[in-house]
Amino acid sequence: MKLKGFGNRTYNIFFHLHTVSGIVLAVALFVIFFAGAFTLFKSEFYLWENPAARTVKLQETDLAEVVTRLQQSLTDFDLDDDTYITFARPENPVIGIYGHIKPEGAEEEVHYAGKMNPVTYAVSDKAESTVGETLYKLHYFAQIPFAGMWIAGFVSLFFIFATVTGVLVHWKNMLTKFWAFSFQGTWKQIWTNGHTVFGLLGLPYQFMYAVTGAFYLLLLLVLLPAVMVFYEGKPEKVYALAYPMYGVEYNEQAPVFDHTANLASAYRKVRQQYGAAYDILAVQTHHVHKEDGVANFRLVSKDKSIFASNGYIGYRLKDGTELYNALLGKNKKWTYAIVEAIMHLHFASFGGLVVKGLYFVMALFSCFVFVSGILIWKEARDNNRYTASQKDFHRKVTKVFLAICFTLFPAIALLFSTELPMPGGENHVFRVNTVFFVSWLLMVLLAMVLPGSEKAITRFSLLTGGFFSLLVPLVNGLSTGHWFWKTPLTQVWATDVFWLVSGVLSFSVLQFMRPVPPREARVFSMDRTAMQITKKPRKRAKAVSGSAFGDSAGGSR
Amino acid sequence: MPAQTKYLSSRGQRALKTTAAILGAYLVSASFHLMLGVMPFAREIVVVLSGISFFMVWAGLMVVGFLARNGWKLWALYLALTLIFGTITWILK
Repeated sequence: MKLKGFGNRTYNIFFHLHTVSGIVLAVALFVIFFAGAFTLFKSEFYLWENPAARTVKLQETDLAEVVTRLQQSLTDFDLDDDTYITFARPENPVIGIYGHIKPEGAEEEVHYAGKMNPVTYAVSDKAESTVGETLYKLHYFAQIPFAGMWIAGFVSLFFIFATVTGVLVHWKNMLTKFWAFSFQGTWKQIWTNGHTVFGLLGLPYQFMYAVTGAFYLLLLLVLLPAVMVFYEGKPEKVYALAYPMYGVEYNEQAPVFDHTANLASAYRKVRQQYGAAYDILAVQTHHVHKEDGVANFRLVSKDKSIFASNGYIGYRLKDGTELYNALLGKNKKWTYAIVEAIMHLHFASFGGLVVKGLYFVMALFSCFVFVSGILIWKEARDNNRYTASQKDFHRKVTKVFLAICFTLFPAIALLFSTELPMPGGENHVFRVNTVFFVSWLLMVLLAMVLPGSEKAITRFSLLTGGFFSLLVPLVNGLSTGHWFWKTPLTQVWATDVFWLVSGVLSFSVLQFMRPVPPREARVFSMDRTAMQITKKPRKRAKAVSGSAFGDSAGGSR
Repeated sequence: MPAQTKYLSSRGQRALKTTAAILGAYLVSASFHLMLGVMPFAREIVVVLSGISFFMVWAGLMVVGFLARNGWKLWALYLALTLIFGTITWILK
């Protein structure tokens, strides 16, 4: 069934918009989705990347001790400002500290992010490991100073644009092309078909990420007008719509009061009352050293069948009275739930490992859409309407783009392989990151100058990626002794096995990569009648010179 | 086959449409959401949901803007809409 198409002018405009936005965004989106796919499992492979954390025997956190040690270790730490403390969990046995420091004599406070050992309560702002953090930051370009997050934000916004124009281009054939996988014809046709089908099947997922990505990175632009017009320039009033703790009002002139002991008893209270049904994730404190101090706890339901599983509860520290209770089914405002839902959708924190696994696969499908888009762009320009130098330019751009995209795979495998053997201490994180980014750059340069076409880049990335993948479990076993067949820790052996499979898959694909385009073709297309399977007669070596994976220099063989 | 160039506009027009798509569409989306939020009973709904809908309106106007035949008129339209929504907000506030 065909939908009503657009006029010629409209169609060509949409088509051009999709082409231009797509070719500009493709590489950035590939990096975001590929790094993001690994980031989904950041907390799962934390124990793998940090061997010291594997043996930690967790005990109940003493909040009084946390605050006391914070004050002792960082004398200018401001406990009266918002301080966010995340509790240690078995899979992530470290206490996270996010607060404010007011250096002696300085006017402005600066943000502080550090962590605390849950056994010794030693404070440190140097991370012991970095794989998860590096990939997490990479997925919104945080390593680019100042501009990175804005670039990623606008990439998200224009990704909505690219998705919408993509759907409009295929509007007429949307229903017929749905699920119409095809392995017929030239590589150009295969890329085009794969691009359409995966783009359409992945549409809800990609659209969701385009919007939620923009939400996280460009929220300032959205809230700015509303805050100025409706909320007297006070952003915390808008944040209070999302989190009740921002609705609590404080008196800056409140007398000095030490709530250290009260903090511990508030934590004890919330554990006793709600510990059975909820995990307590974090506490946000304010005015710990003033009379009107408050502890805001963030809880998550242990019931796995609940989607919006978070709840919030706040206590006045002085007398332990409940300030607000926004637990499930209890005054939990739906505005909290909306912001929470955006978070669950974006971070896949709602359905356990199955959902995360699906997200991972969908992210790789999305990467396929971006790469096939680049290839279509080049192939569609390989004709007489373009001069030789223009065609050369298209080929070069494609090579550079694919080199950046494809070598990210070996670079990430190498990042995992570098973490454990790299000596610890002050510069560990810097060194590991240097190895990652420099090796990525070198591999991009190497892949670009490889003789041959995109195929050479693909083979190079599979070869290096496969090699570095196999290195990961080896390096873990050698440096920690926790070989994947004998370690009891799921997170550790699962990470090793993932990379083992990745390595084996890479070499298998390399082995089976055929030098000629497919000779046999089958079309699976779903329409009203039935699924029809057509088999085309064999045509040997119907390779077209310059086709995507055929050597552009050699042509058909 | 790439899009047929006879349907695409000149450089100057393209610059006008691109700026209108990014900046003009932002202004329309912002003023439109302010107008919706001016009703006290709907303010919370509008402000929280604008985290989603703001980007959809913004990107949507970006797409349809390029269908305009004249970039000047597109800018005029987007500015006029911003002005109308803004005025309504200002009156009702």
